[in-house]
Amino acid sequence: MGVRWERDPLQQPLPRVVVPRPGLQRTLDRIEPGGLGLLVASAGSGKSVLARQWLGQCRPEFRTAALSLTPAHDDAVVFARELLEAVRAPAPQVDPSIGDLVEMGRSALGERFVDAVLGELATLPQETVLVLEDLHLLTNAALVADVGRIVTRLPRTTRCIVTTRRDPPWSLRQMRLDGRLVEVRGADLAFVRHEARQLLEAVSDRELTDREVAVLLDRTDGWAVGLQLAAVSLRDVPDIDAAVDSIAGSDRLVGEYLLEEVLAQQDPETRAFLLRTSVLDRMSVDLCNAVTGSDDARAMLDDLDKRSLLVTSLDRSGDQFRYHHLFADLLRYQLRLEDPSAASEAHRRAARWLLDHGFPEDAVEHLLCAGEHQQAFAVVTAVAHLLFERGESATLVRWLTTIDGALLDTPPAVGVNLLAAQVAADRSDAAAETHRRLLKRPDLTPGQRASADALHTTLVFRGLPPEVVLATAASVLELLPSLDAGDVVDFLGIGGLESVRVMAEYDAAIARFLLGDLAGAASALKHVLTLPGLAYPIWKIYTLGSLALVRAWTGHCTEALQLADAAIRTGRAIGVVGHASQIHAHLALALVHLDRADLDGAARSLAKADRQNQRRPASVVNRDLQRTLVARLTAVTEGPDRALAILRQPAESAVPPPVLVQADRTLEAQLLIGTGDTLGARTMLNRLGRASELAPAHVCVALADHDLAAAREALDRWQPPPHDLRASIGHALRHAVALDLAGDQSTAQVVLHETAATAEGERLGWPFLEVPAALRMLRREPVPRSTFPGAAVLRLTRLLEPRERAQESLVAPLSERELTVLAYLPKRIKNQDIADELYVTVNTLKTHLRAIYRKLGVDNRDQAIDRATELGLL
Amino acid sequence: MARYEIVVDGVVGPLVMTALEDFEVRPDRPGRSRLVGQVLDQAALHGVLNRLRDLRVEIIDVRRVEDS
Repeated sequence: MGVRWERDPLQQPLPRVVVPRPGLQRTLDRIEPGGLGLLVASAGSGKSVLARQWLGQCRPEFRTAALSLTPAHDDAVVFARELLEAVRAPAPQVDPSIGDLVEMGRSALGERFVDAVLGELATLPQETVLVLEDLHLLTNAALVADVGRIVTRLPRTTRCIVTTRRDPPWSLRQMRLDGRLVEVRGADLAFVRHEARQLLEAVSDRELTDREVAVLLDRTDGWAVGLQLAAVSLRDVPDIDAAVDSIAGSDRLVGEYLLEEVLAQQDPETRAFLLRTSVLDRMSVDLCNAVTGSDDARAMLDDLDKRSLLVTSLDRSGDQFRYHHLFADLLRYQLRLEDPSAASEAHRRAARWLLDHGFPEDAVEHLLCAGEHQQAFAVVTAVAHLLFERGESATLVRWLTTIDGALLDTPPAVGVNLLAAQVAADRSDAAAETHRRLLKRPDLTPGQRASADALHTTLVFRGLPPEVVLATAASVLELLPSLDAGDVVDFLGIGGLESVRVMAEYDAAIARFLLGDLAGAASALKHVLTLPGLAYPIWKIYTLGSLALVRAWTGHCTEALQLADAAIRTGRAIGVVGHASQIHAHLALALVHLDRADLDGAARSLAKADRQNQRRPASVVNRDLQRTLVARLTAVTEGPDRALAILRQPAESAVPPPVLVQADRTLEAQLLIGTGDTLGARTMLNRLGRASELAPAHVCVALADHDLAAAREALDRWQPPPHDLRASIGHALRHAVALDLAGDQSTAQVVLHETAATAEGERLGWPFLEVPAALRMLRREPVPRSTFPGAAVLRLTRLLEPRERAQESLVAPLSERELTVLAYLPKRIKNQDIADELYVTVNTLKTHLRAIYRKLGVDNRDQAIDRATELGLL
Repeated sequence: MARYEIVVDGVVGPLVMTALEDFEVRPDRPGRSRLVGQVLDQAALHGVLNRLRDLRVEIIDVRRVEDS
């Protein structure tokens, strides 16, 4: 590897000639704690020099975190990482893992990252100055908006300085009103006469008359780079006065004119050096030699530096340089004007050196500038897996979009790579569009088709219907044996035939899981684990994690724990702890913790899954999966109302998969019944129809209604698959309750005890929480010599059923029928209407009402409503 | 695509025109330049204006020219 480029502008020494500007430094001194100093002025006005001067000379006690922005920072992941690196330089205690909060492949940093950064800055013990240089180079509007959210809400530990050529699109009025904004604009930065004299004389090494200074100041409007170019052009002229007059006499644009003057005065070697090396954002001696094809870069750079020719040393050792941005722009235009092919050649040479010296990503940018899209593509595919693993898929999308759009005759392989990058960047709409476009191409080979289709199946997490995924995956797998391995695209360097096989089989397994075929999903995932493509650790993490989730879903907790641990360990071993591949592993752990009433453990695992899910907003299926588990946890930590609120938010998937419909609606029915709203549960189910996945919920409602026939019918309709422990236990528990209701207590007890014994091996507690009536039976007559489901699970049920708890506080609990009547009272309908709805006479209803009033110790309907509400019965 | 005319202060030379790519200079009154060219969309127009500003070219007028 070569040397690391210096990214910290404040490590850069000041230019050789620096004019003291005490007035402007006093202005910056007015930036309050938590305030913002905004330096907005055109290129070459001296913004950066002023910021460095102030920090270096006036405020050495401040700790400085500086980030010099480049177009690469448009990738929010890159921006976040380098911002944290910059902040951690003076404040190593800042948690670098908050970078994981940035949504992968998205344009913005996201609210969570913004809040986390502000939170970290607030804890800094000492005063820190955050410097963001060249903000105008960012074109990603969402990212710039988020940067605005950071710099306008800084805690008092931190000040910020932003330099930019254009006003940022932030709302700064409030900051201005609060006096937290200090602005330095172009007119403020313009040099005044004595400053201009100092600069001109120091750079030109000549003495100037008052008139000459005044003329140049007028011609340049006090523009720092203009004055500097003028001074350079005056260094060796025989007659200063005449030279000044000719500068002033021209009506040409001052920058253009002065550049021509300066270039005209250079010897041919220096001139060629300046023009060719202008394509470099950062220069080292070796890189310059490679671009110019000579070996005099060391002497050249030192000479330019000595002559203040707008070259800045980037490090204290003097090995790295860059031109002043504007000067470089002017030189590049000049080079393109004189010889467009020379510009391309310079980029090509730079790319070659950067490739040879271990900077492939910088090389890609030069190859794109040189129009070498074929070669750029080759380099991109070679380094893509590194960017993929670092989560910088947005950069891959940018490169590949450029290549795809630039090549007239783009090979389909470019499109397949672009599709892979879009999938990795979670851009599902763009990915679907690229896939559609690829399929239309007549020159798409079978291997490329298989690659594109396998990538398309990964949209299973992003709302592609599971049936489509199954069909597509099947066609890919059917095609694979007939394919030449060389024809299958090695997209992003992580593709190829074996990866395509893994993706197709894995995505089909996930589709099965979502459709509720849990046994099919488990055996398919077990098969994936045997494939040679699993040598790539990321695929292994995905597969282990998903298998863990499927196994936990079917109640095989012990196995799920081992698989999830293996997935997380593999991630740790290859250093991708924050990678989205581990979401399922964390969800599996959460599910097992819930079964074992380890609520803290469940909350921790869900928080880890959430971190990854937040980064992938298009992965709606995983977000819905997480929501299901969050609702469960909320039900047992905060009670049914909060959990119901979560369940009633619309799912993010346009069509929620059956596996989640079953889980969510069963929980919703149970929570409604627990709060006494059996009617609401029944209404909800009636609305949804009789889909087979709703059978467990139907049983719950029928049992709550004491409708034995309906309960038995729904129990018959619900056939738990043979190896689904969770479903079998759920079914058996409801069966026991039905038997109990039917009066067959002894069989009910046998079934119940057998079920508890089955669940004890895996310590599978959640299915018991789903059937509170079964828990009541267990409390009445515990399983001999067993502690399962145990006090911890029993305690949770009280929170799930506030009505149950309320009942316990009454001397005589209300009967089921009385509770049903009670639920009608707040509706303010007439007794006759209630009686009609319940198919009883008004006299029977009145008997129920008298019993309710007596048990609650009240005299009338209003008091009954108040008291029942107070107790939690309503 | 739309056609724009940008009037700027000063006499622009070949360097600025290279920076602007698809624009050409038309005669204007002394001390001013009239730049005429096609841009893809509004974003491209703003890109051109930004580039002019970066080169410290003072913009006097910008207007859309109807094709006729």
